[in-house]
Amino acid sequence: MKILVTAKRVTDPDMKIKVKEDGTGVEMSSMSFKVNPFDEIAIEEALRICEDKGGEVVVVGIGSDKAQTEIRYGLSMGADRGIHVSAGSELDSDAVARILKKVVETESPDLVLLGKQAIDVDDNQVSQLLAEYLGWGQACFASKIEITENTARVEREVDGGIEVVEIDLPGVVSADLRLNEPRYPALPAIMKAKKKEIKKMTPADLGVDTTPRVVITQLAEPPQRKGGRIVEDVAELIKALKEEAKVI
Amino acid sequence: MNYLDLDLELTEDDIELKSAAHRFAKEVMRPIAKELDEMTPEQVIAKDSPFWTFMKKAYELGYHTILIPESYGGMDLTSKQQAIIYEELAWGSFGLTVALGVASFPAFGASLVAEEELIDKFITPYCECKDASIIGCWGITEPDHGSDTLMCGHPIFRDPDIKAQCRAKLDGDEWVISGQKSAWVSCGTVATHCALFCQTDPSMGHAGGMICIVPLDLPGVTKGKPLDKLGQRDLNQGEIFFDNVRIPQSHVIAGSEAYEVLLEIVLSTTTAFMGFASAGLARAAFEEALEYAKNRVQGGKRLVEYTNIQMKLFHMFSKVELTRYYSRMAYMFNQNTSTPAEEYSLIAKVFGTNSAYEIAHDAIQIFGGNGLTKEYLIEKLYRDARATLIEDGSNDTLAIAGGHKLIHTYPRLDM
Repeated sequence: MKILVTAKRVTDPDMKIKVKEDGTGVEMSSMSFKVNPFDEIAIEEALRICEDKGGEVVVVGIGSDKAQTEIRYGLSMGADRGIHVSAGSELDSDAVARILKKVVETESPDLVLLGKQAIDVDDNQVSQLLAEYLGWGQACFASKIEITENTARVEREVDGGIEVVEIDLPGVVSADLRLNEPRYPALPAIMKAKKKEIKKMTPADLGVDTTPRVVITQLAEPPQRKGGRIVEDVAELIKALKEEAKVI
Repeated sequence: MNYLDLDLELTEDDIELKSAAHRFAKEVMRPIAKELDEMTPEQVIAKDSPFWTFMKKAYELGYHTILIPESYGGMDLTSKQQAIIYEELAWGSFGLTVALGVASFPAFGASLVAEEELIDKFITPYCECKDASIIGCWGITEPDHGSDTLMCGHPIFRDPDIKAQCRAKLDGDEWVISGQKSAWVSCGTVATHCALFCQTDPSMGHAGGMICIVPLDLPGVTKGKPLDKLGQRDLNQGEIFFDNVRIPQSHVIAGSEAYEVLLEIVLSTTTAFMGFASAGLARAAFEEALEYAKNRVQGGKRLVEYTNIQMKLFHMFSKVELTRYYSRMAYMFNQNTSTPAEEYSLIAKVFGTNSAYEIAHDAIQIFGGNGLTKEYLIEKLYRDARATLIEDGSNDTLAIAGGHKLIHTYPRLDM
């Protein structure tokens, strides 16, 4: 069993995000970063599957040189080797999916496991696009995965219950929050990870044009909440709801 | 929170270890430490206590073998990496970090002499242990002799009229141990093995001692109740009694001929450890204060906008930084020399713990009334910091020992 997993470098969800004054992006200085928590769950699941069935876990990260830190983290958790696709600027989901398609074609994994979305931009598109580009079956938002010979039986949390889908392998599965609780890297594993290979490539090597199709034009902080006040009577309340809050 | 490390020579490994340890400290240690802090000492060591969740997780991840060299089954860590990791852990909880540190004490002690039998019997099983079923402790302190057992080189250390309370006598091939170690033995109530420092030659005073490993399931060993204390309540401490406990000579790490020298090596490690662990605690207290001061509004503006708060924060921050780099350097130096310069490690302990306490004290002043309540972490950090001034040698005694030492050693020559 060979499983390809992703490790996206995202801003630490515990830190307060500040939008740059000119609205072109998020203030990155003094930000700390970590692996996208959903990707971490995907890595954990891949490790558990391979611990059970044998196989290889390959971690792919796309981004600047710094993105290798997150690939290393996956290797520290126990993945076997890494692939770093070096890309300077922020890529849209479509470019990421097309890069991953090419990586999949060179690696031929039995399963691609990704976080359901990255917690920075929350697009939730890559796994679906990737499955489409590959022409593979997809099972998104997995809360339980069982691998049999040639299929993956995946439970997905939907409103009011669990939906069970079965896809043929190779296929694409994306991890939801309750799939597992990721391990912490053990110290010996961290020391061993430095000896593991990270193969480097560029989108150009893979023949992928990363010109964005989706462009973020403006970011803005949500309006600041104003303090509440106590109104005199119902009439004043209705007036305020109509004229100030504009909700009725 | 991450911090800028001024060391330009940090490797990728150093940074990765720092970040992994920080995450463990933040997500596992802090919440558990907070829970333990509010429990009774008996609850802290009970079977279902979160203390065991922490210990098991720490062992599983290898944090119990930080101090053990790779050749004996430990970690291939540099002394700098050891200091960096322990600082992070102590940021999460000083008490739990000490628990983890002393857990490795018998194995660490044995690694200093590395006799085959000690390796097979004590180091290897400990390093392979993944479920915290082997826990060490350090038995040196006695009810009537706390810090004065630590004063290597000082005349009182060799005073035969100062009677030790835990002694061993050779009987044939075995040492027979009788007496007690005081309630301050960290992890004493849960330990399976003790790195025991006890007297064998009363004519030499405290200097006439030996270091040996005593498995605590031997006949004649009993333990006291866990101590109820002001700070570091997440760290259990308690007495160990020895009633004609017999150990083979092969369990001895150092006899009286080498005792003082080896004790000095051990102390150069433990006191520097207290220094960089204090950097973690101090940083935690500083960060709490900074965050609070950024948000708390008084007199119509945020506390950080007041000059006196800015100055206070600056001085607090200075002490965090000085504690970190000084302790780290003293530790690295003493770990990499055959005869350590102990007074330098003593500075790390005394300066570091004083700094942590002063910072926690200033932080509470910034918090005002809120700092006195259990609602805020700073209240626990303050109590934890208070304990460090006495723990592992009271700062007063260590200053006497350090002062005495430097009068005789200054200036030392460059290595």
